[in-house]
Amino acid sequence: MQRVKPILLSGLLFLAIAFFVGMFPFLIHMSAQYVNWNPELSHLRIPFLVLIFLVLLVSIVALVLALFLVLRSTRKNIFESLTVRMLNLIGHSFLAGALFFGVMYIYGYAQLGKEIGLVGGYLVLALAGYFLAAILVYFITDLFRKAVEYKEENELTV
Amino acid sequence: MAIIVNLDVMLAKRKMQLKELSEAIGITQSNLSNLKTGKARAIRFSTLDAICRTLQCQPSDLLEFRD
Repeated sequence: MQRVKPILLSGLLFLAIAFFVGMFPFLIHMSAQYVNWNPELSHLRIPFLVLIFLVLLVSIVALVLALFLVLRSTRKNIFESLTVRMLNLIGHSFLAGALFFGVMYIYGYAQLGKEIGLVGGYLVLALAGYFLAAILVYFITDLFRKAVEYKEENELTV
Repeated sequence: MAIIVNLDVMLAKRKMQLKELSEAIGITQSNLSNLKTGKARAIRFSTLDAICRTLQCQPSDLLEFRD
């Protein structure tokens, strides 16, 4: 099980990365169709697409870093400063994602007002999810930082 | 840190090499080198005991506080 777990995890992460990458063409296609149905909303297409792409980009960065960490953990000891730096970066990515969702909500609300309806709810949910993930990752980063500190101290005790 | 390890001075006084000390007290040369160069973060009483016993000195001969 110890050997299977990283393989399973890296497989899942790889699928997630593929899914996020696949979302790019899908979203372009979907938004074009949506604008066809509602031409009065066509001016919102590009700003929303750019913001969603930014969210996808930071998510992919976070997932790639996570994949790298999982693959590295199979070969090396992960209690080192590089892991802490990478986890910190993953946290930053999630926080940036939450920020982009926030901007999307504010922009959408400014443009549509109350008509934003259910989409606004989804945006707030996504924002909360990314924000929670960022807090969790920052917490884990802090734990790792302390673990690395203790390990170094233990190793340098003669 | 303001604590300085004077292991090299004591070794020179006793005309002993790090390798000999390492063999005498059973601590690896790299660990003793860490201690000598000030990289070590802490020292166990058992290590201090062994070094003092081998070099026939007091802990104060090995450790020094400099502000």
